[in-house]
Amino acid sequence: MHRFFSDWYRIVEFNITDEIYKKRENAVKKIISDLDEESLLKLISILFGFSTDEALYNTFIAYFRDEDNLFKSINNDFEIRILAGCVLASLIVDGDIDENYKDLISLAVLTTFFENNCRPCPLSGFIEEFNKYLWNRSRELRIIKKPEELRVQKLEFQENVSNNWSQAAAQFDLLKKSNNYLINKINDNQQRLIESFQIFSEELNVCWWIIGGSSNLLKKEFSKLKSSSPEIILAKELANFTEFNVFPPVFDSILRKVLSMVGVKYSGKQVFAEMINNVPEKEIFLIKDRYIINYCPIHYALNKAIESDDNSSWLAPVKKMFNMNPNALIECGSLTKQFYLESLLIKLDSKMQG
Amino acid sequence: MNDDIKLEPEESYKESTDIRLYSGTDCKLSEISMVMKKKPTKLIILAGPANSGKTTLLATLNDTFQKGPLSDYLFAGSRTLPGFERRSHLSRMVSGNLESTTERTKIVLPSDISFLHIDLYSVSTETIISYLISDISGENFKQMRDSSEECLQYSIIKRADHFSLFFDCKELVDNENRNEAKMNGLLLLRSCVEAGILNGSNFIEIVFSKWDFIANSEDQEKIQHLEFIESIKREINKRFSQKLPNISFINIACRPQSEILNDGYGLNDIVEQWTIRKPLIIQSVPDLFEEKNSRAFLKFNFQ
Repeated sequence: MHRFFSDWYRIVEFNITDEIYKKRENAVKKIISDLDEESLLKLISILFGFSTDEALYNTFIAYFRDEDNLFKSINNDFEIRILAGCVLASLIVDGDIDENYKDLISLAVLTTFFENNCRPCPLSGFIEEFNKYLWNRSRELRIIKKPEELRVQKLEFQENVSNNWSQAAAQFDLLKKSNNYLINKINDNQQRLIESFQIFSEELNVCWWIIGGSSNLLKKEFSKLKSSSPEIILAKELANFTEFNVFPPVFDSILRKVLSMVGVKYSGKQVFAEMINNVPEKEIFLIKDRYIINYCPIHYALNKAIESDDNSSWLAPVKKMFNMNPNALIECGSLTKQFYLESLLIKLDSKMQG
Repeated sequence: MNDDIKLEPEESYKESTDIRLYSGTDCKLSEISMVMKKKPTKLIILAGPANSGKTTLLATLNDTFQKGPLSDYLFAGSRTLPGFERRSHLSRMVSGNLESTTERTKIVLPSDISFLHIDLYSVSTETIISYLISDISGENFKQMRDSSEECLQYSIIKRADHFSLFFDCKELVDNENRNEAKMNGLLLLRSCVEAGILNGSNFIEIVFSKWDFIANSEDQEKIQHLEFIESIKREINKRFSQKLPNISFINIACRPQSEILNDGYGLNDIVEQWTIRKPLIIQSVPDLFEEKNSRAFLKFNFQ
């Protein structure tokens, strides 16, 4: 169970007892071991209180009711949201699933959260946890590992080895083991070298992108970028450079630098709906109409805006889907960060789907 | 027939009538999870010496929302309306008193602290925010102020999103009492911090109540009073800002005794402050790299 479980659960139950703690813990463990990856991903909708798959919602509650007969089934929506958050947080800390799924879930939580004021969120504890996971993961992946030293076991052949078949067989096994060890080490070192080159290449690309000061996608200098939505283009380009999830080093500094180069103030604010309406249709890249965009508010809004005929009919479905206010003011820097994360999520999802 | 079952009609009737109805008065600690489990709820603790205006603030809040919206917020329901009404009752009675009065909060055991519930609708964000508000009586305040051990009993404060500490400006303008009033507040903060029940996750509002006493004073005196209040702010920041980074200062006058200030002066500031959500802490530089990092690109992180 996650170390912060009792703190998080105290948000909804002040008098938490050992007995209740145990019951909830058991249910969380069972959910993690029983549900498949896709269902676990869908728990994000429950965490944020969005409409979700009813069957999954009932199954989720059933786990807690099986452990605790007194578990409430009505008027405890927020408790269920907190429990869904606990399941997801426990999953990324000690769940036995593929690391890529952990990344996908953490990214999806962050993108769904959509930092910056579109709606108040009492779940900052969870968000911080997923954010922390991604930062650490991003940095772990970027550590350049030194090549491992190759040590070959010294073989001492005895003089009479040829006359003694059992000894010869033992020596042969030893030789085979040493050989395997060498091959593994060479493969491992080769992998380390490839990763190191990728890391350097990614960082160099980002550096040249900033120094070069021009957009790769629009083939124009930043200063001449007349796009009405430079935040989106820049976020998309930065996401294209990122090979290692998530956040390149000095992420915030990079964003500030490139935004200032296109003449956008990082802390400047604009209305979310206006920003979406201003995106020229030809500049909308890779809008995937797949389930994953249910976790990507900006992509979802762009998708709906393209489908609709006017500038306002897309507002209602977005508002309903993400329980957000599209007329809220949003910081340009946060918007870029959000679109960057969404692009990464879609990229990671595509990679996992093959 | 099964002989074991001997249920008299009267008994069964008695059992069926044993239904506990919700009184609508204050929620006890054991009842607040009812509200908390339903939707996101902000827990607010009002603390301060007796007569510092905590209950008056609650009564004024109730009265204000009965008249209409308060800045961006509309009243959206309460499970404890009778509780609010009880607090407003005395102030509405035509009693011939020169000053409006409010029922005093009774001293209670820490486990018996009660809460009032109110839902507010924010017009700009189109969301409903739930609040559970408790005022700690002046006597409880004294006990807490004098001992960290006593503070520990009030573990609910640890869970509180907002802790509003009241300084009574009527005391602060009185040269004889003002230092004691200042020390009382500082001592309470110190006890709570030492006991570990207040920490960086709580928002602390230092509320200078009955601000009309400052606003009404003569020019020369007013400068002195404002200087004294500034000294309190400086001292609080100096002593506690490291452990309590979310401290803010608010001036209110719920029922001002002059026409310089409007009724409910500063009320919207405090309600606005209560809606602030905890800022997201972004993990910027993990320890992971501090020792091993020898790469120039990553070193930019530390600038």
